[in-house]
Amino acid sequence: MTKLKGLARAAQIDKNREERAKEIKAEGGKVAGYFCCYPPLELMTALDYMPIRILGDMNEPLTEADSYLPTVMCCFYRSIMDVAMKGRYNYLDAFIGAHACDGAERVSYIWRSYLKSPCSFYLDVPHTNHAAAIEFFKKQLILLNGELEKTAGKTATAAMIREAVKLHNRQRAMVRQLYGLNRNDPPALSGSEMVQVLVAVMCIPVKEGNALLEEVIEEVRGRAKGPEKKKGRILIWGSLIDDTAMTKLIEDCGLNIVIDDTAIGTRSFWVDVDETDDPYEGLAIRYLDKIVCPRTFRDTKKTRREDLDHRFGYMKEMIKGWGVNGVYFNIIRNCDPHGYEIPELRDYFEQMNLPVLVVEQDYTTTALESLRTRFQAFAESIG
Amino acid sequence: MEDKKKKKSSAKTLQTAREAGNFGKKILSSAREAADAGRPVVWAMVDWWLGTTIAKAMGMEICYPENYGAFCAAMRKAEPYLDYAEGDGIPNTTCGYARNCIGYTRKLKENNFVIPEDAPGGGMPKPLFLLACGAACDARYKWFQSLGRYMDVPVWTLEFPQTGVMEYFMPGNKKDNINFMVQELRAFVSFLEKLLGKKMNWDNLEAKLDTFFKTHRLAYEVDLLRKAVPSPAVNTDFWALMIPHLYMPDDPEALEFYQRVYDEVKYKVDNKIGAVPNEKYRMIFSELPPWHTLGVFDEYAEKYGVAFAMESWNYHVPSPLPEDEKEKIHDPLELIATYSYHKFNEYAPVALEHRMEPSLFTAPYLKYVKDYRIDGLFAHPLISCRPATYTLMHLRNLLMEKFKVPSVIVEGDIVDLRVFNEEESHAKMEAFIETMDHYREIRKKEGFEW
Amino acid sequence: MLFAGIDIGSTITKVVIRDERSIILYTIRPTGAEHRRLAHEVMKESLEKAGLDFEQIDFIVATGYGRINVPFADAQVSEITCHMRGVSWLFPNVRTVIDIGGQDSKGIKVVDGKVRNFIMNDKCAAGTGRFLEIIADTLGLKLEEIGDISLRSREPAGISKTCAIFAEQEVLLRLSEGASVPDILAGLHKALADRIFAMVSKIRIERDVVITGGGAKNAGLRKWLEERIGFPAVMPPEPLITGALGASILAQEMAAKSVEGDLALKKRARTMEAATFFDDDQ
Repeated sequence: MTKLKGLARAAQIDKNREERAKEIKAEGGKVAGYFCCYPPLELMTALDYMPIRILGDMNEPLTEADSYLPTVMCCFYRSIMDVAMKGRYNYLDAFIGAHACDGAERVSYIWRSYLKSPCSFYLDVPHTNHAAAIEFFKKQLILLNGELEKTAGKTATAAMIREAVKLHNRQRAMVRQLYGLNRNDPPALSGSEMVQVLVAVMCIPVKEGNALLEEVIEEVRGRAKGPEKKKGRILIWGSLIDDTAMTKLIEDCGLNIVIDDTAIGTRSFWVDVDETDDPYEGLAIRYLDKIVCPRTFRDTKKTRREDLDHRFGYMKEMIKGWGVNGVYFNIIRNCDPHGYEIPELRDYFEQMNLPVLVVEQDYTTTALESLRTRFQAFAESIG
Repeated sequence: MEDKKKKKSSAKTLQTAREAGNFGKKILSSAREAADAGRPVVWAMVDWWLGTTIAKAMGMEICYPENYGAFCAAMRKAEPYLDYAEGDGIPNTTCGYARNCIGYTRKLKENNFVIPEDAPGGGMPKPLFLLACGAACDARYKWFQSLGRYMDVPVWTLEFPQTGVMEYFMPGNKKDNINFMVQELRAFVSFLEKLLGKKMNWDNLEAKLDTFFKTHRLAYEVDLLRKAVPSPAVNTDFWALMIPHLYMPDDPEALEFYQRVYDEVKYKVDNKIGAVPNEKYRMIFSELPPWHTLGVFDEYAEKYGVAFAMESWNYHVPSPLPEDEKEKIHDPLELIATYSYHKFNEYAPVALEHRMEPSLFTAPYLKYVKDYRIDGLFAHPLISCRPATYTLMHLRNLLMEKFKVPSVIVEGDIVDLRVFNEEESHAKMEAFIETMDHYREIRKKEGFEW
Repeated sequence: MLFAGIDIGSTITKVVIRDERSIILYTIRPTGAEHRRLAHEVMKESLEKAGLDFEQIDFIVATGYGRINVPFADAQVSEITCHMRGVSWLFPNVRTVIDIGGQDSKGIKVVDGKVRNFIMNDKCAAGTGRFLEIIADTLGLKLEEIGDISLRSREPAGISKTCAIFAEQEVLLRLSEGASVPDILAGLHKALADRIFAMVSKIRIERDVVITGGGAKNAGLRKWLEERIGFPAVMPPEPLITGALGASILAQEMAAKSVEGDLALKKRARTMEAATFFDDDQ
């Protein structure tokens, strides 16, 4: 069987997300699973752990979760607990939970109570980006590294971490390049293809991910037929999308997803780690301060207007640069960090004359079809 | 036309518990008096004394919107506020207290920040700032941040690190956590000084802390006394008594009150007087009580002889800091940080022993079952309060697996009081009595002490 | 030229046939369980009534819940857009459309003849006509009469349960306590109006407000809803057909945009038949 490349390879990995991790394990390698954007990938890579982003499964009926978690909580983390208890991640050498949000925090704890890995760390992420918080976070990262070293059987020197920083920065730069190709009309990649590529790089070693991205960029630049031109060019803001079933539905209804501000999307790739002498410094700053997500509290500015610009102004660039003419708020049901932002952010965009669609969804493919009318009506109202 | 369901109060068993209601009223009225007199008011989350103690030392009056939410709900007056918050786009899955407060604030803003005539209990005055807290859940800072839509009032978020159990024991980590909290508290003091245009009164803070620790010491002793069989006080007493130690332990009236509480409970223990005359079963309750229907616990007591010997970990004071640790701390901010951190982590050894996580809301119960000789857990999942609900299933698993202690699950909500079905809870309790009997036998066979 | 709009709702299917200026006729039929097989039947019936051949219709737009399963439609458009267009054609000054259907309810904000914002409830029966249907059933009354009966009430009973299933229980409880049927019905209508109001408030209710859908025919619901809104709303003469009407208007626009030759080609290729999703033998 010929080895697939580029977008086809990305689609293949997306379909079978644990395959590469299992291959690596069979070869004697190590895999570290982590929650959300906050555990630094560089620390895992430096010690030869392949980082794999722990995700739920929109196709999996939740049959185990009820024994461990309440029904009224983030559907995504509930799904994670469900598939984890069914054994999906039982090959992990290291489990890195994080205090990204309530769901991530609680599931980190409960996971560790029932599923034991050789290495296990709960990364407490401060709520603000104050100087003391960054300092504290740095110390947490050093602790995390210490734990990883124990089971890796080696030490991560500053040089090794810096090397990993370069590799991951390169990956981020290429992802940004890929997004950049979506400035065109029509965009170079569909939202579904983007999800496949990003999920794929989150499931394979960084060097392989970089090679894949190179292939994808070349393929996408060169191909004759990409996505169709559509009236709607939307930005998706909010809770993550990790399944093409969601993006396909949106695109089917007449919308092109040109850019996003979500956890599987730009939030993981938009900014680099500064190559500081003390690598932990750069890591702490990038991961706590530079990543933009509503879960991190930004000090209130003097006026409401100033505060909103401070918290959301970065999206103005995205709107302008990508010719966005509509915004879709993707809210996974019971997500509080995003939920509380809705009224303000909605007005913020509407004042820019951008129509906004807000949908609270249940992170399950069985409930997707009922959203069709909403996306279609939204597409019809644009342009 | 109003729903027929009226507030079902508990008679409580302690005389002091019956008096404790005055403290609750005091919180709201002091805040309004202060606002009327032009003195600064802050809206604060329950922060386990981390920031509110400091704000009080600077002369600020505190209003607690979480508490106000419970109050509005009990008065059956929360619904218009909930609708008003949802009408502006806040999802109906968010915290009930948050929606109540957001709706209230929206109304307040539309009334030019004059408290509307019909505001329950006289309402909450516009604050000078909002004191959010990073512990327990995301709503407790996101909600305050969202109020910026209606008022240009700064939000201060208290950094309250949440350490994993295994991480708690890592060398240097506890110190780093507390250092972090102290640095943030210093920044908080600067923030207050700038806002109020005056310097922190450190003597005042020291004096408050002195009273504070004395009050807490007494509250702790009372908790220990409740281990007695029969239990001298029960959950309905505690939920009344907790107001002064949770919200105003630095108030000399609270200290005086607690001395009387201690005396009353000690007397009962010394004379083997149980809160429930025919105590047959001892239960624990997690986590937030059905404020509106506390009378139902009197009914369980009467019908089945159920005494709730312990409840609601989050409202209790922690054990006092070891004297030798306390002596070494000269900085009041470090003392506060250490104590608040202690509140969240003192059960880490219990968690470690049982190889489980988390400490918060869960591990303490693993000690309570033993110390208080518990027959069953009353788990009360709440539809719109996640932090109080997240670990209930997990706790249920643990109690059964490790101690053969069963649980009964009765749903409720913090603002939608219709969710709690009284009749159904009685049916469940009746069946649960048999379950508790059954597991008593099993524990006996397996050699447990109780 | 002739145009048709077909709105396949979850409970009722509607067809509107129009020429450039006015409605020629409309048909309303229950959808039943097999909407895929029904669309062309309703279409056929309408054509027969109008004395027209299928080939005479120049453009057909399908909308509604079952719009994807209309193989003979030339285009399908969401019911949000279609309702908005239909209502705007009838009431050019409309700003807020409140559609209360059998299985869902919607609010649509109209600005400059376009959908500015919308909100839908298609998950919870308690905010739709289904709620009233359940109650009518429980009381042994016809759905068409309960609205008027509710108007006879002088003091609406308080119905506290938000869930339609529990409301049923509560109705029985109230009856046993001696509450009158008009009072109970008034309480239920009021509760439904409150819920619909809460939903539509999210898109900000502005004049002129037009109420459509089966729920619009219910005088009791209209009364309580208008009370909550604070000012009167209007209702089209036939509130069920606004979606199909809007679809037929869009059909006209799309036909105008099409190149002449393309239209003819399309018409010849199109046949009026049911969707063949499932084997008829199964």
